[in-house]
This record gives sequence, structure tokens and C-alpha cells, in this order.
Amino acid sequence: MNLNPTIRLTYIRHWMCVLAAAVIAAMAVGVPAVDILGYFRVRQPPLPDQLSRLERQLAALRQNLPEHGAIGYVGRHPAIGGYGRPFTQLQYVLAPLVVEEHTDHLFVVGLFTDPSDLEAMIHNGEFELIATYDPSWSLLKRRQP
Amino acid sequence: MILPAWLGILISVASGFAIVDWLWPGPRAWPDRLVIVGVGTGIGITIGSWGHLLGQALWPQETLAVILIDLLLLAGGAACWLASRRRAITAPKGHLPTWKLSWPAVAAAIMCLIVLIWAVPAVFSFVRNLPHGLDDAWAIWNLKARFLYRGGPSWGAMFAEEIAWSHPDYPLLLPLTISRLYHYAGSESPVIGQMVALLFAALTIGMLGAMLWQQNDAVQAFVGIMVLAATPALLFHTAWQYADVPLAFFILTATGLTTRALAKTTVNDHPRPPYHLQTSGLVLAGMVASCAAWTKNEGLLFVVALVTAVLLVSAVSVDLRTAARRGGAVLLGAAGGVALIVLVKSQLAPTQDPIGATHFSQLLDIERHGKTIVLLATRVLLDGMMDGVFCALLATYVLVAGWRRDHLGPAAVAALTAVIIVAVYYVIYVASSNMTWLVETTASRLLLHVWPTLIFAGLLAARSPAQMLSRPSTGKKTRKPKTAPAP
Repeated sequence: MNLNPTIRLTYIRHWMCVLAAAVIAAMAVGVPAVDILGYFRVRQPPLPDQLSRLERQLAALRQNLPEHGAIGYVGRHPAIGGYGRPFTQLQYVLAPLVVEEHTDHLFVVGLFTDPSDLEAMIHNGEFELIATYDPSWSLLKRRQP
Repeated sequence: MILPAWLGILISVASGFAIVDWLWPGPRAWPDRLVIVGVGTGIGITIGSWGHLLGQALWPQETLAVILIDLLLLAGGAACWLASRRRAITAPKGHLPTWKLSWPAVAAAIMCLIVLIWAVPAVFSFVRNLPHGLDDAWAIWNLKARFLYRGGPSWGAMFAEEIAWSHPDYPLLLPLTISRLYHYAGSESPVIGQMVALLFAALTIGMLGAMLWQQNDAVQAFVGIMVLAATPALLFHTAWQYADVPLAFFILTATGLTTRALAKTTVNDHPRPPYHLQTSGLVLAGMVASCAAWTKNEGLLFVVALVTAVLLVSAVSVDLRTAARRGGAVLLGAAGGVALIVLVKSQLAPTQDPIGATHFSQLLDIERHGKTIVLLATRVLLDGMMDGVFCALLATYVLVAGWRRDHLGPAAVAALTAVIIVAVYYVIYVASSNMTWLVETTASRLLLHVWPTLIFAGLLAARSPAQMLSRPSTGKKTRKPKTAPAP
């Protein structure tokens, strides 16, 4: 290591150098303490890993569906915007199937938080129930005319 | 088993390193080699993704095809490496930089270590909370990777208009890389996405340090690493597996290569690279810029911003002819990658509006400007992602240390590139019909795109404490010794 440069506090530039070092020290100790820990405290509640849970719940569902193509989705769920919707999460789990948010397909996956919705759909005669999966997911198949 | 996935990364690193070593302009001191490894990893991953795209088109879902294409790339890399051994340019004796650590550098390194001890566990704890990443990660990048890996011949369904919410027109670097590594691992472990995210974060931090060390001083390198590693926005977007971190890496790298090519002198008064080496340096920078465009749509804006900055600064500081030559060199380097992006976007992906609903007449509304600035400042400085403490301390350090006059030109190119990108983002914010939502959801990550580059520009232009201590400050004109005319 080159330890030659020495500081003699008789020059302004040497004082500036000490000041610069102090700023670096403040950054090293202060910034992580203030920012990282502060962010942990204020912003970071532990997030439930919904996707891993959904993948476990619907592992059997994938085996009952075709490998490719498109399927429908029906469901009543809280008004969540963006990617928080179960519909988009279902697409992630079932890719490479394309999931569309309507029932004009041979197979339809439903999220029925209210069981009466599922019963109404089956009694309508258009679909038959193939299987149900925890907690409220169902696979329906369109009856052949 | 995700260990074999590391093999895929190693192949990318090796082939990319060999290609960049072949293209590398000028001598290769060991800090140059650090930069070559970083640039090579970025370019190797990008070329690997191009190869995987070709493999998907010809032999979809064939792991053997993925490995064969990678081995072919590795063989090409080996050929480049052999060629570079033959024409290796070594620096003349007496001009090789001495990379000994001064005591301020040792002190900065220790403080840098303190920050890393804070930052690394923090990012790993977030990764553990979100194995699939946050919204954009799984709904865009990892979803596409699943289409590629699981889809077989129907992988093109990822471009379906029915899933327009997942932005089928977005560039494919991350999905192709993750899918390629799924093939190596033989499974779709979420760890693959995490690996890629952490790799790019480490590359960004390492590249900032390596480039500052290469072009300025070891103290600046450690200060840069310290500031970037302690930026919450970087840590969180890494854990969330967003593409903004890889984009920030490519923006920083391409800008750093540009500043190196344009430098009047490098460390220890290393001689200015000759004309043809400067041009090849700019071509390499253009290639890396096209990697940014292959990562996110904002990368295309970066290519334009970089060329514009090179043109403007060169036109002002030299002349128009030189400016045109330099700008042309960057464009030449970016041309291949950008052409591929245009091909994919025009032939495969559906056309989507890249910026959403905008009304440019709103730019004349002064009140809207004020509202946007207040909202931006609030988001950027007060929400904890990009704290004002950083900016204040970094600015203080740069002001206290003083400027290196010989670095002002290259640093101006880096700063101007970042400013152009931020200015375009600002215009889109003001013109957006959904400005509040757009600012709240994107401000910190869009600023993250240029944050490493801004740190680099500031510390490149500033003197380090070690340079402050040395009496003849760098950049001041010194009288040349009279030499006898050559016979």
C-alpha cells in the first residue's frame, strides 16, 4: 500500500480533504442506517406469497386441462386493480394456456367465493363440473350440444 | 437442482468475455479486465438470449438445442479470444497505471464494506419474501419465460392480444434468459429469476466501481459502490425482479464505455487512445446500448439519448465532423441489436402504445408542471426509495473535492445522457392523462435507470481526496518540456 501522502493541516486543500473524508464516513454509517432501516420500518410488512400458494392449490388443475390453447375464467372477487386480481395470477400459474376473462371456451376455471354462483352456473345446464380445488376454485366443461 | 443453471451463466460470461476482449480498444490493465468481465457478462447474456430465441423458432422446448446453441456461441467466443491473443495491444512500459491502494482508498474500502454488510442481508430478506418477484416480474417477465419454457411449438401464444395486460410487445432479454436457465436447471424454480436479478444488481454495483477505478481513482470507486449499494430503490427492485435494474446496468455500462472512449487522459496520465481505438470503443458502447433496448422499451430512448449527448458535447467541444463520426460509431454499434428489436416487434409482437394515453397540449399548463414537480419530488425524495440524504451527501462530496477539468467533457456526456432521459420521462408525466398514478407507480424505478449513471458522472468529474493531496492537480495545463525536433 502506498502510505506516502500525508495530511498537514496547514493547507485549505488538506482541510477540504478531511471534510470529504467526513462526508464519506457520514454516508457509510448514516445512509444505510437512515434509509435501509427506515424503509424496513415504514414500508415493509411481510408479504404473503400468494403465487406459491396458488401454484400448490392448482397443481392438480393443470393436469385436467389441455397443454395449449385458451380457456375461460369466471369469478367474483374483491375490486382489486392491476396484477393483484386472481385472474392474472391464474394466467401465471396456467401458462402456456391463455386465460380469457369470459366463458366462451370449452373449459372454464371459476373462482366461486359464493357457492351459490357455482350452483347457478351448473343448473343453467351449459356447463358440467369437472373438479373443485381448495379453497374456492372449480373447473367446468361446456356441455356438448 | 438449480446448480446447472450456473453453468448457463458461466457460458454466457465466458463467451461474452472473449468477444469483448477481442473488441476491447487499447491496453488491458487489471481494472480494464474487471470492466471487460462486466461488459462481457452483459453482452454474453444478451447474445445467449438471441441464440435462445433462434432455438425457440427452430426447435422449441428442446433442451439439447439450447445447450448446442450455447456451445456454438462458446466456440465463437473461443475463436475471438484466440484472435485477440494474436493482436493483443499492450501499453508501453511506464504507462501502465499503478493500482496501489492509497490510505484514503483503504479507508473508503472499509466504509464501503460496512454498507455492503447492511445491504446484502437486506436484499436477501426481501427476495425470500417474494420468490416470484413483485407484480411486473411475474406478470410480465416470468410469465413470458413460462410461455417460452412450457409452450413448445405454441410459445408464440405469449404475444396473444388476449393477454395484452402482460405487455406482449416488451423486449425479451429477461424472459429468454430465465427460460434458457430453466432448461439448464431442468425445472422452473423461482430461484432462477432471483439469480438473474441478483446477478444484474451485483454487476451494476461492480461495474460502477470498476469503471470509476479505471477512469478516475480507487476512492471514487468505493464511494460510488457505497452510495449505490445503499440505495433502497436498487435493493428493492432487485428483490422484486424488475427489469429496471438490468436496464440501469446497461445504461451505466454503455455510458461508461463512451466516457472512456472520449477521455483525454485516463488514470495516471495514460495516453489518449488513438483515433481507431476511440472509434471502436464507441462502437462497443453502442453494442451495449442496444442490449439496453433489448431489456426494456426505455432502452430505445437511451440509445437516442446517448447518441444525442455524444453529438452535442463533441460538436461543442471539438467540431461537427468529429461529432458526426463519434455519433455514427455509437449508432453503428447499436444498429444490429436495434434491428433485431424492430424485427421482433414488427413480426411477432402486437403493436401497443408504449406510453399510454397522453395529451401533449397539457405541456402548456403551468399549474400541471408545478403539480408534477411537487409529486415527483415527494415520491423521489420522501418515500424512502431514493432518499434526499444521498443526493445531498454526494453533492457535498463532489463540491468539496472539486472538479477534474480533464474529465469534464466525458462526464458531461454521461450527465447529459441521464438528463435527456429524465427530461423525456418528465414530459410524458406532464402529458399523461393519468399523471398521479403514473408518477406514484413509476417515479422511483424510472429514476433508478439513470441513478448509477448520475453517480458515475459526478464521481468521474470530481477529484478524490488522494488527488486533492497531490500538489499538481490533474487537468491543469503544464508547460511542455522543450524537445529537439526530429531529424
